Amino acid sequence: MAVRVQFENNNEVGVFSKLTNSYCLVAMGGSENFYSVFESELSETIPVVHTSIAGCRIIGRMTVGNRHGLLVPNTTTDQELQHIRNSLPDSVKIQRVEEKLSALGNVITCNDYVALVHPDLDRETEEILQDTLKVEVFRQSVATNVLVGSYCLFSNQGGIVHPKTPSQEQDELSSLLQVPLVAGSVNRGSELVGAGAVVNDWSMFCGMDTTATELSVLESIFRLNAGGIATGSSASSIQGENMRNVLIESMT
Amino acid sequence: MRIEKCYFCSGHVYPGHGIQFVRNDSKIFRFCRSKCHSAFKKKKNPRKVRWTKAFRKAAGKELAVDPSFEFEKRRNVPVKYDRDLWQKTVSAIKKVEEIKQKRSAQFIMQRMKKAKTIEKEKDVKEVQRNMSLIRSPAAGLKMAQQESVVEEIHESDDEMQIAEEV
Amino acid sequence: MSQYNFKKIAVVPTSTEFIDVTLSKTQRKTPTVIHKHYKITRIRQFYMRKVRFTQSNFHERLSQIIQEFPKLEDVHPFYADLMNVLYDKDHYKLALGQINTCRHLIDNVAKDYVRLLKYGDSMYRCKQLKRAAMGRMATLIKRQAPALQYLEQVRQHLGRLPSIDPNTRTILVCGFPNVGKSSFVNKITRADVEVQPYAFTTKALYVGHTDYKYLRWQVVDTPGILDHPLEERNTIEMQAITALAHLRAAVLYVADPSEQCGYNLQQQISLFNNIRPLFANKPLMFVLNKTDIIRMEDLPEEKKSVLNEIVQDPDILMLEMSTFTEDGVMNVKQEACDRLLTFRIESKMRTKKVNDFLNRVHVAMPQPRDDKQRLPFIPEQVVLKKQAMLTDGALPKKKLLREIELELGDDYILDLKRNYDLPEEIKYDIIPEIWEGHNIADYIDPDILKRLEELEKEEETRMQAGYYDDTDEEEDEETKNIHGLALKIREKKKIMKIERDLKKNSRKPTLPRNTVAKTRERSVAGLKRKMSELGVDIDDKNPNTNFARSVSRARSQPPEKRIRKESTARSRSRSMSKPPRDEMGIKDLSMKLKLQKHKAKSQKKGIAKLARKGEGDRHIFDLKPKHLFTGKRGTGKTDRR
Repeated sequence: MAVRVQFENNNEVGVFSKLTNSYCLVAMGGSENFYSVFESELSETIPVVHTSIAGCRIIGRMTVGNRHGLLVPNTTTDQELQHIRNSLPDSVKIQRVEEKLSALGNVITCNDYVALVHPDLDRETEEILQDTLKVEVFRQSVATNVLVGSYCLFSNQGGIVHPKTPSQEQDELSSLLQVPLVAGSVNRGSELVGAGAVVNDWSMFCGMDTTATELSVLESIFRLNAGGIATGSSASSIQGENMRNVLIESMT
Repeated sequence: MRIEKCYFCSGHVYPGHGIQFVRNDSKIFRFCRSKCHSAFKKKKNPRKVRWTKAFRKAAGKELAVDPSFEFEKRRNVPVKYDRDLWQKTVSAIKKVEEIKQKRSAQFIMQRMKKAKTIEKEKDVKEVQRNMSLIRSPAAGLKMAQQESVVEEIHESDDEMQIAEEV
Repeated sequence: MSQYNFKKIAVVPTSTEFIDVTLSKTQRKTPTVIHKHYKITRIRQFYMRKVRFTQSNFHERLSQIIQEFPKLEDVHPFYADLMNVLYDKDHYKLALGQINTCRHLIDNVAKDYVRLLKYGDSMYRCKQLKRAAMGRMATLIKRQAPALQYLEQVRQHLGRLPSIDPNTRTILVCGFPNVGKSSFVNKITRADVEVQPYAFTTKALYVGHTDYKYLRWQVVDTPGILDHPLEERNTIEMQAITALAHLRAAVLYVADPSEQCGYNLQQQISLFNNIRPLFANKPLMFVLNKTDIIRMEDLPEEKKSVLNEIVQDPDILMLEMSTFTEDGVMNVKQEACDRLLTFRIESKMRTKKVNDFLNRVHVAMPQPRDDKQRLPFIPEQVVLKKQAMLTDGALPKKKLLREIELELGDDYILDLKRNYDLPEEIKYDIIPEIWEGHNIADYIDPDILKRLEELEKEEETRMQAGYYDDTDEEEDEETKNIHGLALKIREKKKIMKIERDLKKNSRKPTLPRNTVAKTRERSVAGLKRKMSELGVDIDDKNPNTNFARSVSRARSQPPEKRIRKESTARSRSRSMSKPPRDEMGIKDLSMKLKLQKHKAKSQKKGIAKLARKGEGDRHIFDLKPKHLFTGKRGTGKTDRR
């Protein structure tokens, strides 16, 4: 189910946290409210880890990972790296990458099987991605934006892209990633869907500003509805006629 | 906390010392003191500036490639903390350091030795060419003459003795 | 024009009030003191100012009124029509027109009187002119009293109109009086419309808001309509008709089969048919209210047959409800909303702007690229938890970090090692980072021990192979000698170099006057010494050696002392002894005598007069004569004061 949360009054949840199927990273804030939201939802199943990267709190945009592994930029200190290694189970491989485009969260987006990367990414980083994260890598831009990590958010069950993505490109991306995709917004019309929310296969966290319509779209595309998990609903019910009409009505 | 290496002289930069310069392509340059920083700003190539470790290693004045150097390198894949392993590692560091220093010293000694042979050859050449500055060719000539005379006398004495005996 | 402006219209004053306010303002804000003896121009200016001030005030206020009242052409036709119904378009326009003319007239009055004031020749004259001007302006305003009053009433009523947004989703409820429209609106929204048993309880339009499917819906309640032609309709009914005509909304025609409203079903249906044209292009619903009293099935046959005609029409949906028992009310609302939604979507899809949002609704389904299965990964625990939640409800909660933080308050410290995936004993270990200038993190490797062993083994082999042995060769006798010789040679070379440099740099003349002739040491002893340095033995006893023959006698004795005789010119080659100065360069005796005379003459000058003993006497008796060192310093430099 989708949960609304804020980090120190900021709605960009995807900047301050990183969520995958096997772990969750959370930035260190003034108080523990943000952390506790994740803790109450997830801590029984997966480890929820406080961390910083190079002393910064924007960990969601600096790191990238899925349930097989985690990649951190070259600015990460040895102590932080050790801390993350100590907190995560051995099944998750951690590696520090030397890369000019060091904000990995903006440059790479992935689920457990496929990854989309910035067209200018180094070959070595691509290879590291394939090895540690066990994904197929595709160099692609989303609606003429090269920062795929910010404009696209997807899990193993569905995905959402920048709202101005044309339908053709949506179809292309969908067949590349092999998940259903919808073009939508988050946090009251914010186009940066990758930075505005975090998702894994059974839960999602987005900013307080997300409207009910946006939330319903997100819940349906990522199959987070109450009945969704138990029944494994088919694709057609994702955007039932109801939702479609409501969406159009609310947009015009 | 981490002890970094100075980009220019390859010296240690301790926390709280030196200057870090980040270039627009996000490459970080660390300097241990203003000497190195100024030299960098003057666009000097550390491989050409004689007092830096980079020069010394590139010019073969110090041991550069050795298995003992492979122990210390920047590692990108962390290992889970294990008290045992860490303790063993600390003692390993000591040993590796010892061996490293021994080998480096040996390398330098070898270099010095080569210099000795070269020096010897130089001496010989010098003496060959310029002996005349300290000894004239007539040196010891008289003595030699006298000696040869003495020898002759001895020889003739011997002959005479033999002749007498006969 | 949106609703907001109607509430923000400024108050329209009554005519007397208007006049009073403006005149008192003039009195307050313009100078009041004027005397007869002032210059005439000043007096004129004074009064002109007053006239102009009054005029501008009136003008401003009237302009404000004209601008703030909505122009019927600019607002939505629904409001235009509504205002027409309520206030009569003609009357409204007329009133505003009158105000406009009045404003224009006031301007003219003021202009005229100002022109006249320019030629006023006394204070009295000017004052009278001013009085006349103000009087005329005031009369003009007094004549507008009815218009102003009317506009004030319009303003008040406009402010209280319900804020209906003509463009958003609206549901219109209409029908005969007393059928249950207001009760229905009360049920589905938070509006509190008056419900009474008498007809025409609702006399105006009322708006309520309701939510459905994340969207806001307006529900408009209308006054009841009676079945007579349009011309005979009164204001109240006309409001309902206006709403029906202009709002693009879903229409709910409410009918009362129980005939409790006082009109039978036939009449209701005939009204329905009469106003059918108003329902064109609108989703329509025929709702039978008051089911608690009588249901559709229980109706007698004739009535049913009449209703059936309507049911047969595919466009119209027939529903039943009871606002009293709330039975079917929600159903009606949902149906109305759904139908309106689809209708609106359809019309929007037909417009050109459809492409802008079409991508937002399009769900891209993937075409399978290969046979690989890419299943979602949801851990068992989560599924179980979900199921448990559905059946049980709340689960026992774990203590959250936030709660701990709140409990501890100031003492709270973020413990990062709390959730480490390590055994308890070593979790809280402090990990060492640096040792003797090395970063420990650079050495950490699971097989460091193995590699260390290998390294040590290699070291052993090297030691044994003699890599570290001191292979410093012993220098043999010969090399030592050679080395010694080489050192000597180098030293000799240096000395030679220095001597050469010295020789080269010397710029002195070859035969200086003052120096004594060099004793050239071309002696046998010298030669012997040199040769022995070079290691050669010199036999100086042998007189046949070539160096023994040409030896010159060294200066073994000092030169004898000779009496100074008369000088005879001696050539230099003969003796190296130095002649006295007064005999130098003298050829013969005559020259000498002449020179002596010269000498005496020149010396006489200085010596005799200055009491000097001789040529070399330079003694100064008085170093600082008083006359030169006394007195004030005059102008000029110190060296010639």
